Amino acid sequence: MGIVKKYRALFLLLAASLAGVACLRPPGQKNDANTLVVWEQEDALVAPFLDSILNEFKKQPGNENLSIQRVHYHTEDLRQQFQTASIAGSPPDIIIGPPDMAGVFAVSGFILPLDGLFDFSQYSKQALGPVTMDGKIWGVPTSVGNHLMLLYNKKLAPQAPQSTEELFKVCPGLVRGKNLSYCLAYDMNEPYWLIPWLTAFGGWPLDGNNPTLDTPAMLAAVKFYLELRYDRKLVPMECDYNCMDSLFKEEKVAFIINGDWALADYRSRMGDNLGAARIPKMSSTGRWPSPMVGGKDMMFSSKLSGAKLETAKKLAVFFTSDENQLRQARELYRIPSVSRLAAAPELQRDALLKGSIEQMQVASPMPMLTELRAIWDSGRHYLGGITQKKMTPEDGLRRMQKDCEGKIQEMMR
Amino acid sequence: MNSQVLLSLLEVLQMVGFVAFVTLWIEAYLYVHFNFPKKSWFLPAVLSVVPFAVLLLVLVAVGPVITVGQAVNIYLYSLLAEALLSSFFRYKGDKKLALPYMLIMPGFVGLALLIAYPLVFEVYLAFHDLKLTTLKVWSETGYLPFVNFEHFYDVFTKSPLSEVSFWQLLGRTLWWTVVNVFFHVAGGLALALLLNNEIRLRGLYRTLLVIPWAMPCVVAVLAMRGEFHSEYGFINIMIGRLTDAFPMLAQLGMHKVQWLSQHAFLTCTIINVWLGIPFMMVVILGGLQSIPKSYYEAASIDGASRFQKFRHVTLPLLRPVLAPAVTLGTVWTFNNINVIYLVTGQSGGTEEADILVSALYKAAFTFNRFSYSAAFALVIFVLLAVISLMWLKFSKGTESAYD
Repeated sequence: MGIVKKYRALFLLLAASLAGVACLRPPGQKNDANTLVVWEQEDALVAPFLDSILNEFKKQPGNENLSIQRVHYHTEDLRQQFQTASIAGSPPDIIIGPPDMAGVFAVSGFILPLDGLFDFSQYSKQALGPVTMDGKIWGVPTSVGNHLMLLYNKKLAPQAPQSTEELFKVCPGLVRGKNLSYCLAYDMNEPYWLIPWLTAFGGWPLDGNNPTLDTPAMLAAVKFYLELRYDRKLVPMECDYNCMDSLFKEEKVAFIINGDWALADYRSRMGDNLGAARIPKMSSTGRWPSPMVGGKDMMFSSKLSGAKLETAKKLAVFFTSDENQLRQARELYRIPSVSRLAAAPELQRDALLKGSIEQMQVASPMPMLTELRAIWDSGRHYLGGITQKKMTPEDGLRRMQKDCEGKIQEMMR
Repeated sequence: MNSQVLLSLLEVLQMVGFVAFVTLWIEAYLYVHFNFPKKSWFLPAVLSVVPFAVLLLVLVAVGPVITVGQAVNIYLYSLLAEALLSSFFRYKGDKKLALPYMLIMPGFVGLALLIAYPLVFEVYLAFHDLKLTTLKVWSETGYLPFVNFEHFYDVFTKSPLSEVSFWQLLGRTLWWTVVNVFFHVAGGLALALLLNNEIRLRGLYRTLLVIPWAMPCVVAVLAMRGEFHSEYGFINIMIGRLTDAFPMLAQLGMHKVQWLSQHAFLTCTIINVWLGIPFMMVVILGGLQSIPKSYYEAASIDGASRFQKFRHVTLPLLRPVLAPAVTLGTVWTFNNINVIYLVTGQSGGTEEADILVSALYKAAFTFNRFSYSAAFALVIFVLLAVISLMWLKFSKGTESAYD
């Protein structure tokens, strides 16, 4: 106690100075209206492009004092962190990500409906469909895509097979002749990769808002999976995304089914040897697979208002300007979300983009429904079980449907 | 150093300043209340100053975002609290306790904010219904439907994932904990006994053995996950080479295994055992080195064998070190989400390796069942508290070896 008495004045001085430090705000945050916080989930190759767009935007007249903080997360982390930050009341201003996040965020009230804020007539239907729910638009599409396609290494296979029959014919020779580990690689446990094959058998995972997972088309699709893996041994066992990606980059497989997000990376490694084509037609049904299509979207936090909302709007318009959309297509091989640019000659001249656009044009827009979340979660679990032969396809699909219905019911009750 | 780094440093400094500022306020508060409660000016002075100070502190901490109504509420509540507290100090306060209270109070307040508040909030969530479809209403109005014990009932009757039940998860968690802690202690003890001898290059061996522990857990687990890959992992490659070189092994049933999909629980256990041994080894080695040599000399004079020395000297004197380490190891292993999530979280088709906490994490953050998860977490908390208390009582871990 004596010490406190003796140095009372010093203590008071210390308290006052600490209070001063505590009240300081970092210079960049003096005026919140001048700081935009953007969270994204792009891979490292995309970061320089994003930074250049943001830096260019800061140089636009009127943005001299603007500061933009870009924060990167992995896809699943972005979803969770944005949810947590929104609950805590301090979300970022803008997130850039795939549209399947939008459904959950819209239902939770974390993002703003954007009708009336933009001229959406210029965007393609493929780009807008996945961010439209209950008649409202919840994101500004910065690109259309996220669709799966068949990519191939021309050094190993000069032509892409047009049908599954052709694939089966060409694969054994390729594996033997080129000393490959496998012919084709893709993530068999991830239900997103099942959708193209499901559509090739005439199925779709939803009927309105109801899951349709225990159907003859689903059964045919998962049996086709088993045939690929166990009977024909064309695809590797236990191969997740990283595994398939490495196999293709290391030239241990000739074909991969992957999305447009990987094009820039593969192109930088393989140059003109990289080819893109539609996923082969299902010979037994005569149908072409139709993967889901979405893209990348800019979503605005529901906390955004006033001057900051205006700045965010300008950024979205700047990002989707013709010049930046074409630049994005050139550098990242992403298809512009603005419909008039899809036919731009410079896009059609690039064989890789042309292949990607051909696949995109026959893809099916991903529905913006919260139910989709339950379909992915249940699908991932049971699809893994079926492909690892822990359950029969019939039993697995029956349980998948039941589990999915339960998850939706719990979410919505 | 770029401006972002400087800004971050400033933010850290700001936080430190804020914590110190709050601490000084707490100390000043206690100093005044312990020293002047009988003075005539005490009550009017504190009642007029403290509520305003609390309001000011809230404004500094959260910024000027609170409404006038909230400010009035904060003021009135702190006025009431101050009236009660200052009355206590006036009539029951003991000046002799001033220093101890001043010393423990900052830590107590910090703990209350970091532990008590989340715990109270979790209890609140467990009895209400927070999920995707109620989030919006809750964030806008603060209203959540009250659901009584429904989530607690669901914890025991509904799967937190797809099919695995709470009871299966509980059994697997207990098995996971027992197996892991057993091998951590047995492996750690064996290595510590070896390293406790006068052997050459002891420091080098110790360093090598501690590496798995010193490495960031995520890196270590992901590296091991790669080694268990069915086609490109070290383990199966070695099995392949061995069966190629010695076909007899293949005839005996040795073959490549799909570790990650077919034997996920075993894989997680092997990885966690490998990760956990170094910690136990370091703790036990410390304990071994603190045992005086004279005890062993006395035992030798009495003609004790090596085993008898181990049984009657080493083990009893290791108990004060081992019991808290085993308790800690049990709690850590019981709550270990890293290994299971990193090994199985990314691949589909398996709930076979999930334990209570990994299922809890997935229920909360993959399936967005927030209130259900809060109830689930409370059940796990009670379970763990009971197990730890029983273990401490059984092992007499809080008693000294010399009692």
